[in-house]
Amino acid sequence: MTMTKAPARQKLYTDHLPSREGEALWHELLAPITTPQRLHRTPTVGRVDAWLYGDMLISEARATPQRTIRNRQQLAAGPLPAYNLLIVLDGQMRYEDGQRDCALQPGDLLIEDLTEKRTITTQTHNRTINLMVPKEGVGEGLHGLILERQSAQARLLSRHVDALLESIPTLPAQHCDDILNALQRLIAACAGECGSESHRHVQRALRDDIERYIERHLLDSRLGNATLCRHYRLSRTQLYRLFRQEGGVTEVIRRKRLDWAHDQLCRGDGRGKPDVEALALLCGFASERALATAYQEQYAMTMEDTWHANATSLPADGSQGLTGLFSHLGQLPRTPT
Amino acid sequence: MIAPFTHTPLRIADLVLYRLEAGNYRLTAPEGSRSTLRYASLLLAESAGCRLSNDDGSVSTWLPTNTPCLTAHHVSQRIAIAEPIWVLRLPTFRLSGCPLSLPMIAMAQEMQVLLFSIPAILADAAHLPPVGQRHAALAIESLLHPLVHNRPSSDSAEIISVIMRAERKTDADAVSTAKALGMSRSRLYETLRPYGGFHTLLNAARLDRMARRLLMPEYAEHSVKELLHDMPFERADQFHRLFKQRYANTASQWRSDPLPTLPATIDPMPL
Repeated sequence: MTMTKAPARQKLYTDHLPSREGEALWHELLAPITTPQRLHRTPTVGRVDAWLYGDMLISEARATPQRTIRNRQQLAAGPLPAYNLLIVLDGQMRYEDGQRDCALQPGDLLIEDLTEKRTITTQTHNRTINLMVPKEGVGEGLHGLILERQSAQARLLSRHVDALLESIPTLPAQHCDDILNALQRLIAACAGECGSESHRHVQRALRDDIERYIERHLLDSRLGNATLCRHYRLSRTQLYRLFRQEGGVTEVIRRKRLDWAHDQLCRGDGRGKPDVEALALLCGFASERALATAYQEQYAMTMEDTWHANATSLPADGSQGLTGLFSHLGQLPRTPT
Repeated sequence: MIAPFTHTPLRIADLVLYRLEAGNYRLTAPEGSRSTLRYASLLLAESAGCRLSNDDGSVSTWLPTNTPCLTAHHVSQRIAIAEPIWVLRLPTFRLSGCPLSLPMIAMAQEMQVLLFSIPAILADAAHLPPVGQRHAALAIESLLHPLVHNRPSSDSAEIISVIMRAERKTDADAVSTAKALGMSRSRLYETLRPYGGFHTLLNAARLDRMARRLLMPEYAEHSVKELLHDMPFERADQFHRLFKQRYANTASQWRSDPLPTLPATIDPMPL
C-alpha cells in the first residue's frame, strides 16, 4: 500500500496543438496503456483531465475517432496490474478481445484488465470516464465484463463514480484507503452476478490455473501437453479447447517462454548480455537459431536489438504503476487552455 | 398526534434503510430482547436539518442541512425532523469493529456527496444476489469509516484500542489490559461497568469479528466450525451460547438471514 495522498490533478489537452505534434503527444500519453491508431484522416488527439487519489486514478477523457490497441508487444513491456472501469458518456465504441466482440453505447460500463489484450474502436468523437484501481482486492477474471446501461449494476457503479468525481476535490488524504476499499467492494458486488454463466467461469478459472502452472514450470523441459493432461486429468481435446483462441496450449507455452526470454534481455541490471544459447536451451528450443527466428516472429525485432534498446519497463507494483502513470501525464508538455 | 412512520425498510445484509416522514421519533436500543447488539443510524437530511435531543429534551443538537450525521443509539434519543429524511440503521460493530455504543454524533461535510449516494446504492444493490449485497454492505461500511475516525479522541478510544488488541489473544485478562492502559484493575472495571464490564466487552468484540466474517463473501466457503478455529474461544458451546445471546440467532441463522426479528429501533412518538 502506498502512502495516502491528497487528491492531485493533471490536465492534458492535445487537440489545440498542430496535428502532428498533438498526435505525437497523445500517443506518448497513452503509450503505457494502449497504442492509438488513426481510423480516418482525422488525427488521433484528445483531452484528459485526471485525478490521482491514493491508489486510484480517475479521469475524464475526450478523443477523436480512433482505434486503441493493447497487444502482446505492449504487454511484454510490463503492464499495470490494475482494472480500468470505462464508462461511456458519448460516442459509440466497439470492444474486441479475442473472446468478445461487442458494441458499447453511452451509459454502458466496461471493466478491462490492463494486463490483457484488447482493441477498442471508436468511429465517432467520444467522451469517457476512466477509473483505474489496483486488481488486488477486486479479484481476477473480470476482463471484458460489460455492464449494460439499464442494469442495476451499471447504475450503481456509474452513480458512485459520479459522486466520487464530484467530491474528489474536497476529499482529505486520510480517507483514500476507505474510499478505495468501498469502490473495490462495489466492483466485486456488481461483477459477481454479471459474469456469464457458471460454466464459462469454471473454464476461465481452469484456464487461469493452467496458465499459472505453466508459468511456474516454464523452464521445465518436460512441460507440455502430456504433463498438463496428466496433472489436470484432462483429455488432449479438452485441453486444446480451453486454449483454442490462443492457438493451443503448445503455442501458449512457446509464447510464455519467448516472453521470459524477452524479459531476460530487457533486464538492464548491468549483468551483460545473456547467453542466447543458454536461453534457447532453457526455453526448450532446439537451437540458438530456432529461438532467434521464433523471437523475431513474435516481437518483430531481433534479440540483439532488444538487448541494445534495453526496453524500459513499467514498475510491477500496481499502486506505483498508477502513480507512475500519473506522473508520466504530468511530465508531458501542457497546452494552455 | 403520531408522526406517520414509513415502515417499508430496504434491507441489505444487516443494514436497513428507512425513509422517515416529518415528525418526532425516538431512537432507542432494542427493547424486549436479550440481545446486547447495539445500533447506530446515519441520518441524511437533504433540505432542512433536524434536531436531536435526549429523551428528556435536556440536551439539544441542531444537525445542519445537507450534513450526513451518524448517531449511536446509546441512550434513548429524540429526533425532530421538518422534512422527510433517509435513515440507515446498522449494528455498531460495522463502524469500527467496536463493541461499545458510545454517545456519538459524527458529521463529515467533505464526504457529503458520497454519503448521500448511499440510498441509491442500496436501492440498486437490492437487485443483486446475496453475495453482491454483502459486498455492497461492506462498501457502505468503508464509506462510513471516515465518520468514525473523524471523532475527537477520548479516554474510551484508548480503552477500545486496547480491547480490540486483546480480543485476539486466548489468554487476555483484565490485569494485563489494565497494565497496558496504565491504570489499576479496579479502575478499569469501574470505567467499563456502564458497558457491561471487561469480559462482556471482550467477548462482544470477539463475537462481532465472527459476525462480520460470517457476512463476508470471502469466508462464504468456510463452515462456522472452520471459522471458529481462528477465534480465541476455548469451547465451541461457549461461543454458540454467547453468540445467541448477542444476536438473538444462531451463527448459521445469522449467516443466512443477518436480521433477527428485533423490535423497531426507531419509534414514532407523540408530539
